[in-house]
Amino acid sequence: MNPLTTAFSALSDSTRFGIVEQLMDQGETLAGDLVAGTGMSGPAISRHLKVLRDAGLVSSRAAGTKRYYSVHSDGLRAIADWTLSRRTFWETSLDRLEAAILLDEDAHE
Amino acid sequence: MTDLSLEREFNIPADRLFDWISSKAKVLQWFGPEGMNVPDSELDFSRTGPWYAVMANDSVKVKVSGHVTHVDPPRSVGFTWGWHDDDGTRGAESHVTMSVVPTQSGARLLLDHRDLDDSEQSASHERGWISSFNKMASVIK
Repeated sequence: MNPLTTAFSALSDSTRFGIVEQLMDQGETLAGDLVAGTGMSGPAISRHLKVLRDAGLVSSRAAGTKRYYSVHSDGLRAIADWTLSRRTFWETSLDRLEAAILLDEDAHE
Repeated sequence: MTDLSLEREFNIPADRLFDWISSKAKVLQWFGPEGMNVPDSELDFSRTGPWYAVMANDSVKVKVSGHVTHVDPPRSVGFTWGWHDDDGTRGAESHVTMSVVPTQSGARLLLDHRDLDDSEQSASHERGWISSFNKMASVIK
């Protein structure tokens, strides 16, 4: 899988999707506070966080015995770029069409 | 959803512009973003039937495919559109229409890329994504 499909696959689980949304809303959050909102056990949340970290969607920082999580903007940017790609695809294709037609016109003159 | 409409003016007659957007040899000259080449394709929009294109650069290789659903020379062509996953699975289907309208100085190309609304479930799923993307956009800034 490419990074994008890994990211989408990681987000296809509603718990993980919720964690990413929570991190986007709140900014950096203590792992324990993420657990509190879900009603899931610490180890269960840890497994979800590992999937999100492996997919490049969240990053973590240790401070003493505490671990803070936040969204990893590069991973999110890749998704945002992907949603823009339809416009980019056609805009650049039409640029090339324009160039090809001009070249063709010159050849006919 | 993200329906897309684009317009371009060209200084060539409508029938010639139509040829540029439908004939295989011509479409191959412009289809796809700059810097991507098309090593494998069936890009014939001059007849109904299946089409596909594999686009690649040094780091990415992607495939898109669909079915040409109508050809109405010199006015318009329409085809379905779906990206393939790396394992070959074809994703959500959308629809592209390219229309040619004669103008005083030549012809105008109208490009429409719309999503196919197949179920209420997918629509609500998409609304979920969009709200998250909006948040993402504010995070990325």
